Amino acid sequence: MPTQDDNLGMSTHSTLGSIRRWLRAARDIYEGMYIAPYRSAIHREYLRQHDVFMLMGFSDLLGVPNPIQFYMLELYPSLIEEFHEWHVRMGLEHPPEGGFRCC
Amino acid sequence: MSAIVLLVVGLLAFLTGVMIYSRFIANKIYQLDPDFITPAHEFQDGVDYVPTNKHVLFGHHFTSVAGAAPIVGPGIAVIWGWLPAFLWVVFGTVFAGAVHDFGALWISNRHKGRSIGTLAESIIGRRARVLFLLIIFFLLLMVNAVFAVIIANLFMANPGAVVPVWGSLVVALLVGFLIYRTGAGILLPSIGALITLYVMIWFGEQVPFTLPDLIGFGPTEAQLAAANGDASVAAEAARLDGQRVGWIMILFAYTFVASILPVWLLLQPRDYVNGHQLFVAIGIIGAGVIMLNPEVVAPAVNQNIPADASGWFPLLFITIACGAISGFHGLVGSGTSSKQLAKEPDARYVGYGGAIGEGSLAVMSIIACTAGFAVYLSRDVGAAQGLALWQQHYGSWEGATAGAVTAFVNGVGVLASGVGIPESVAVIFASVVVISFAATTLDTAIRLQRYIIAELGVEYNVKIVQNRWAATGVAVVSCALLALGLDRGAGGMRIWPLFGTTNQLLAGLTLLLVSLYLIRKKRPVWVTMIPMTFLLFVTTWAMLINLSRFFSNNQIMLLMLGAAIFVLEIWLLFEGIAAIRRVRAETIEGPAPQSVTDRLP
Amino acid sequence: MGKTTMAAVAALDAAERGHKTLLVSTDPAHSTGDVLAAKLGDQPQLVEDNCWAMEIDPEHEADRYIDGVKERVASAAPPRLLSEVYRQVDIARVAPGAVEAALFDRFTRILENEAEEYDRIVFDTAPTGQTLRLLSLPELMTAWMSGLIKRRKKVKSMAKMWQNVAGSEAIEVNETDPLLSALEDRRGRFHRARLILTDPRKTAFIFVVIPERLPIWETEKAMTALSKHEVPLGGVIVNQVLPSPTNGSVEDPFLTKRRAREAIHLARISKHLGHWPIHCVTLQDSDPVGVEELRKINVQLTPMEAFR
Repeated sequence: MPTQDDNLGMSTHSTLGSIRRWLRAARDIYEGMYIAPYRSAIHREYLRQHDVFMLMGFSDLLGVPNPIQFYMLELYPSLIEEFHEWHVRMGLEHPPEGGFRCC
Repeated sequence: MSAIVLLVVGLLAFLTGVMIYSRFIANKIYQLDPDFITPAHEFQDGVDYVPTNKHVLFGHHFTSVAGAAPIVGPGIAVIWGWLPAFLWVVFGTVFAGAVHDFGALWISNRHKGRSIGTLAESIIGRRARVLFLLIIFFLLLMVNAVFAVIIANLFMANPGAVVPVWGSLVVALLVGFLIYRTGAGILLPSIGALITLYVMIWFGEQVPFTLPDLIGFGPTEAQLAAANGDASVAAEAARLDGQRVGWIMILFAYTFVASILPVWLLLQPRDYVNGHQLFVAIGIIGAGVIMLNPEVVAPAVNQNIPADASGWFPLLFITIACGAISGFHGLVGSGTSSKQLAKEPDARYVGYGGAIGEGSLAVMSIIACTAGFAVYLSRDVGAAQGLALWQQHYGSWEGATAGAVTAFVNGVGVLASGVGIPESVAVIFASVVVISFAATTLDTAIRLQRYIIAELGVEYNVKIVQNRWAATGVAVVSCALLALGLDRGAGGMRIWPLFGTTNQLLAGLTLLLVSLYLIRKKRPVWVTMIPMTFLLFVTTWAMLINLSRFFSNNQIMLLMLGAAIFVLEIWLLFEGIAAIRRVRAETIEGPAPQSVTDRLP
Repeated sequence: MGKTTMAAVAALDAAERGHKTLLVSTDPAHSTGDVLAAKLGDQPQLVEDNCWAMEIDPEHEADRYIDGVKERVASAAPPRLLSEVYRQVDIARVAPGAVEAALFDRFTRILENEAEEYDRIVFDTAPTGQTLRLLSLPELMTAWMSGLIKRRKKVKSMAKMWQNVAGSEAIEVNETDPLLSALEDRRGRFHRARLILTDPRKTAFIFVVIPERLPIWETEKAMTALSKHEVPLGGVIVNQVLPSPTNGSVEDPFLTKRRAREAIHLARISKHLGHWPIHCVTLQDSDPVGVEELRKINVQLTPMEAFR
């Protein structure tokens, strides 16, 4: 088992280096306390909105009739990448049957 | 006893725990493996599963676990003197709380980042999951009721806090707008927000706000009796009841709205603005202690325990839950942080370290309540008289529970004056800090409760509460009823020990899961078994004392609540014994599978 | 039922009155060309003074639509995905409703592009369920599109916010979103088609029916459906009405019986479709072919009340 000597930034080679390390750690902790949650909250909301959009656009894949199913075809070119991210996030390793097989 | 000594001893003890005990656990018991592929890497999705720099993760984890509870619990527990509280905080954190947090993070990391509830189901069985949900339900029910009462009391005790607290909501919305919409960066709006908040604290001190008496309660018989027939005293007590009820209702109305809005709209920027207070508060308390070095005047062990309070054993251990050991941390560790561990060894720093941070907050609360608060009381009357006033404040269990936050807030006021902040402003600052902490917990807890209620609704096939609005409504109304049902909110703090118990039960469940996993891995199990046994032992004992007291005082609501929790406790006990036996037998009989979940279909 | 003939008659009539007219047929059997005795194609072609005609092949339209999509996919999608996307698009090509949707798309384009050029456009199309649905649905489709656009804008604004908060960690937000403009383009076309289709000063649907039970019932249903969606109805042409008996001669009992039957159907027509103008044309002894014969039919068109 390796020991965790540097786990708290304690092992130092020089004073300056250790100060720098502590400052960096402090900055990262601050980041984690306030900024990271902020980012992930917005990120989550973005994904939520995106999911709803994809569900509306591809509702026919889930068996919900979509009156404009045929016209969704013309959106495919711009949607391919997003579609892949979407179905992966939805927990489907492969896209639902009938959707494009992107992987 | 000098406050500096207390602070230094406490911090040194924590440091020892981090350097020696946590390393021992990491290397010998949990055997953290730097090559283990963490769920953050295995299931990386950019949202929940994200390998995160350990300092960033520590910051995130710490703000998620830190709250008002490690301030309130010690603030009550010093009724037995500072020494028992201090020792429990230090030893509880080092040997139980931090081990628990660390363990929750580790075991979740070893099980695809699953949360304690899911793990309970897969390791013990489906019944354990229901037990888990029920424990959480009661935990959240009580935390919401208690914190609403705490906030209401603070608004009444320090009317100057009203303007900055509600004003900070507006500031938060503005900050959110600036950051989101204009891309102004995060730094400048935050500095602006902090300045505005401090201006508002100063301004709030100038314009204290007292809620008008909208409800018009008449005095109760108990209040008339307490006033010895003096009608005006009883009427004043009833008027305060009206204010408290008013605030509690406003708070729950706010919580209802806040927990339905998307997080990023209000809560995220508000937490962000308020969260900075944590830094500032810890800094001010620490600097204040060093500058003033006040004497800890409260007795080390209080020999004159008030008539309505029991001895420190075993009630101390359920009075201070957060600050020593808190099951709630396991939820954060297992549900969120475990999905972001970049390397398994980081679990030690994040989990153990986070609990140490919370323990430090509890030590500061002890100092504020025993040293700072005593200075505050003795300013006009001299030290001897001050001690008498302190003992008067902690002269009854009822008074101690209701007055814990007052003691803390005024204590911080004194400490802050040591760094040159006017005391009257500092008291409001401290109130704002406690209120923001409590309000953050309130929002999060109502939101969580909504999910729990919906999930219980699925479990027991109750359709209506599976609806978002209905679930939120049930969550808010049940908490409000509990808060208001105890002498119009005046007795709300009586729930505190029950809250502590439930929190310990949850911790017990998590420790059980970690123990079972250790047994399966054929590793020494005492690091988690001893704290777990101890916890279950003291909480059971304390609950029996509480139940008999509720019974003899004819406190029906508390009795019912206590009985429900007691049933959960016994349930957990049996579940634990059965599970340990089964796992032991399986481990001896057959070759141990790599992971418990391997046995799952 | 003589839809094609009647459409040609109407187009020639309009042209004769001095309106520059385009006749658009969607019959894959090229019957319009047969009726007009002209070889028609995918583009307007002069068939008579002031009168142009074209034939659209619905299957061909669907193919063309699909090819357009594929072309744009080719320029946007990573090459490794191309074959899969193509496969997907080909599945959509044979899905139910695809042909009608493609046809409707062409309709809207003609409405937009040729409206400037011509005073009148006569569409000859079959009132199948799918076509009716498309004709009556621009409203629903516009609403659906608006929902999608609203979502897409929200997605974009959240992406923008995320970028403001997270900087380079966030996804890149382009000022222009090709998807959004495609959606808005489509919605605009639906919307304009809807405006034209529901404007009584611009549009009138004329049904052709023969005096028999089932066609009457179907027409009734179609007209009710369209009027519910505020599509203006111009009237009904009853085709293949038996000519009046020649005075004095003795009629075959079969014809007499047939005529009695027809009277019941005509009564039903005037009862149920009577709110709209009804014209009748008698059954011809041979299929009219060529401009001259069609004009004769036009002369024969008689208001129902005046018939007999």
